[in-house]
Amino acid sequence: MEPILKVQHLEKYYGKGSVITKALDDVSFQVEEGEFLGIMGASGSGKSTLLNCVSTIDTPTGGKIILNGRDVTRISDREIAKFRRTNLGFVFQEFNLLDTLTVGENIGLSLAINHIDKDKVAHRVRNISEILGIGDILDKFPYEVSGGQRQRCACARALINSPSLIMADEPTGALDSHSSMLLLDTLVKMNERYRATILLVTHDIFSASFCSRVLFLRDGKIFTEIVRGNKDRKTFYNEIIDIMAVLGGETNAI
Amino acid sequence: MLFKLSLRNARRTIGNYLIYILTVSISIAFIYAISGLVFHPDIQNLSTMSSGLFLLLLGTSCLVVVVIAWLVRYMTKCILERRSKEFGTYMLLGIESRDIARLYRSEQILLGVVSTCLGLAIGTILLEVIKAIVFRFMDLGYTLTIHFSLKALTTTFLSVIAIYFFALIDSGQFFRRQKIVDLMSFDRQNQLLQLKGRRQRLSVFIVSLLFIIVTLFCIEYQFNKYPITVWIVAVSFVILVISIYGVTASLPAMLIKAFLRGNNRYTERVIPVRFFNSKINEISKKLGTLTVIFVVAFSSLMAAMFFSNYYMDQMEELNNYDLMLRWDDMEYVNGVHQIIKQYDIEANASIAVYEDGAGSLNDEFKDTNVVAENRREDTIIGLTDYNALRSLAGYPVVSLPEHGFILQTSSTAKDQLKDLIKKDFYEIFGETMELSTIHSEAMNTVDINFTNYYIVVGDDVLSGKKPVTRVHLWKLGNKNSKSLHEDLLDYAKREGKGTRNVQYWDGSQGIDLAHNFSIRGELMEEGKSMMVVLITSLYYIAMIFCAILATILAISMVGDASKYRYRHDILVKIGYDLSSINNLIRNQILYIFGFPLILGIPVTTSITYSISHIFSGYVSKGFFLKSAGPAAAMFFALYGIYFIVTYVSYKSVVQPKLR
Repeated sequence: MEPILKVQHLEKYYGKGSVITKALDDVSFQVEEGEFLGIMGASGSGKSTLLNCVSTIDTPTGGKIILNGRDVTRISDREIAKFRRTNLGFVFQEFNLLDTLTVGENIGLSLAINHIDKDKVAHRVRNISEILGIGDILDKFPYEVSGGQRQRCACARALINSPSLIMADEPTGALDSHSSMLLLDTLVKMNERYRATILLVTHDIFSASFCSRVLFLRDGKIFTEIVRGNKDRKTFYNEIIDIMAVLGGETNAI
Repeated sequence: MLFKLSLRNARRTIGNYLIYILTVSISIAFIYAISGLVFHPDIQNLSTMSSGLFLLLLGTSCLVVVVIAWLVRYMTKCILERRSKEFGTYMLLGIESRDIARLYRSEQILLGVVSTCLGLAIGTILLEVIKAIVFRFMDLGYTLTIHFSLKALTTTFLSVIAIYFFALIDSGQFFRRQKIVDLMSFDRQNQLLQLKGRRQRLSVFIVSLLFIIVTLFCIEYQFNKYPITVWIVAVSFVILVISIYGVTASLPAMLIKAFLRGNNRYTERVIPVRFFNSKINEISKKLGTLTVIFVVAFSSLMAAMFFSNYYMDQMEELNNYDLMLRWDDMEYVNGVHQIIKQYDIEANASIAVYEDGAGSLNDEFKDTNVVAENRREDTIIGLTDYNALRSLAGYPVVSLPEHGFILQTSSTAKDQLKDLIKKDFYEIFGETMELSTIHSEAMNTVDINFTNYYIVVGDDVLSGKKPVTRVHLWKLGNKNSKSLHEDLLDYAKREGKGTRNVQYWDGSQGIDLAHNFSIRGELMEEGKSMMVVLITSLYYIAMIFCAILATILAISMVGDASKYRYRHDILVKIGYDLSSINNLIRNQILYIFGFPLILGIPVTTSITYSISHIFSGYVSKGFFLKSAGPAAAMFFALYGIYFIVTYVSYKSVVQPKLR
């Protein structure tokens, strides 16, 4: 399978002179199309920095990030917004929905700013919201619906553009266990039904156990990786616990 | 310790409170400048300046102090909300609410002291500017002398104390009432987005809009007729204000209906419309007040500009003849001539004035303010006399075609007369004559026969006719109008002719020259004080209200910048580019600043236009509308400064997060 994302010798340093913090230190990995990759690590391990660099929100100090054959570190500031809106989808812990827009308008927003025909947008919003079970709340505002519904709305917004890569940053962090379960099912559905490539950053073992592969970061370096393969989720979950025990740091092991 | 903290906080937050300091400084500058003017010895010594006019100016100052106190109270409340998390942290650390209130008050007083110092510095310059303008108006010699007036300083300090006392009186209560959790989560409270009863709001919008249109027509009708029914006008204004509140409160629902109908919500316009809508929904109750403030500010500015232009034109109109006397008895006139010889007669003229009660031109002006009620006579003079008048005033002589006539009027009334004249031919002394041209040179037209116009015909038309009166005019080398007045009054008293009984401001009675005498300096002096006070008060109100309007909008927008910064972050993350974000910010501020104008401009224009009918006969509609341009320029200059400051402040808060 052709890798959709290649991260090569990625480095991100903060500070200068003798006070340099290596947030990412020679990180290399790749993600296949349709893969559901989890990135785990304790706080300060560099997982959010990695996500920010891949999502073009932050610029790396060195290395390459090749998405769809294009090095995102070399994209000019003028092009970056267009690249982001056509190639990337985001799901964040705090939902990041615009509270002034209705659920439907939030979902259709990335298409609207791409100047897609309004009737086509409306059609796709209805389709995707039905699949994710939020078709009946399209006219409501985010503050009028539950946290789980808000997060599914964020998923629909990330998916509607058919992006090359969906990035989810601690998406279950603000949800209760029931809503978390529903959301993770949704991500799996997005991955399996639409072959969406998902990069999930989490420190929650339960969430990571839904992934097909998990990368572990420690002190800005890749510590190890495990692949789920044909293992059931429980076995995979236990494997993650074992590695996290070696890694140290806080986990949400249940 | 607490004082040091407050000093540091005030210093640190000065950059954030740019708009606050700007507005309070401007306001204090105006209070100081106006007080300085009122208490200036040259102004106080003016014989024509009555105590009533002083009271008007001081009353305006009091109104301004009350309004600014309300504004400072509003701004301090916004600052409280913006820094609620910081105050919540102080509480969390165990600092008593009483001490936090004291800390907050100290900061505000420090900011007040900075604003006062700045205001006094600006005010000193502003006072000189206003003095230069007013002294020019009053024909007083102006020399640039920058000095501090103790009385003005005391008045300004008392005003500042009153403003801050009112603004901070219950700040202690605020901290006592608030829980820590409320303070910590203040900035997380979202704008109220839900539009409850959308259909109901649409009905309110339509009904309110209809009421605005009806009341404006009613006001226009009332000011266009004579006499005005005061209670109908008063009721119309009350309904108008209520309707403005109705329209502004229901507008968010209307906007959604207009811009996001059907699938339009899935276009890019959804972002600015929803952002703008949520903002005006949040401040919908204030929007009515803001629109009313705009109407007051802009109409005051238009009125000030109108009166200034009118005054200047009148001055020019009255400037060309030093003495005019309407008198038939030539013996009396010769006596006057002998008296004024000592004033160095440069030139003089005597003209015959005729009246035609059967003329048809007058028909065009009946039921208008051009002619006095029941006046049916046209005033007519011969071409030779007219040219004598023109020569005396320094204008070239003119000629007339056969059976032609000239219409002479003032420059302010010319356009109105032009609009009223429908035909080319009119009956004058039984002859059909053609209007040749309308002249409007500054020639004191009204004092020829107390009308706004007169007709000029060929001398042959008037042969055999008897004049109703004669007007004698002199141009003098010595312009001492006061002394001329005294000498003429002595002569009139001696002759027992040409005087009238008058009652002065203080209630005492006396004798003065009859209205048949028109002395140039005196004509210009009449109403001068009133005009100066009126114009100054109107500019004062206009500037303060404009600053208030812009400040409320600016504070409201800048306060939102940090609260809703995340919106722009989200847009960037989903691929909105920075230039689009900048456009969005600019448009958001533009829409919010423009909103009070959408309703305010038509309402103000309509009201001021209606009120201008009071001056119908003296000024044309065109003359009135001429005031609107400079007024708008002045308003938007000040408004624009606030717009730029708001845009820069808003962007400085939002942009670091976008990189």
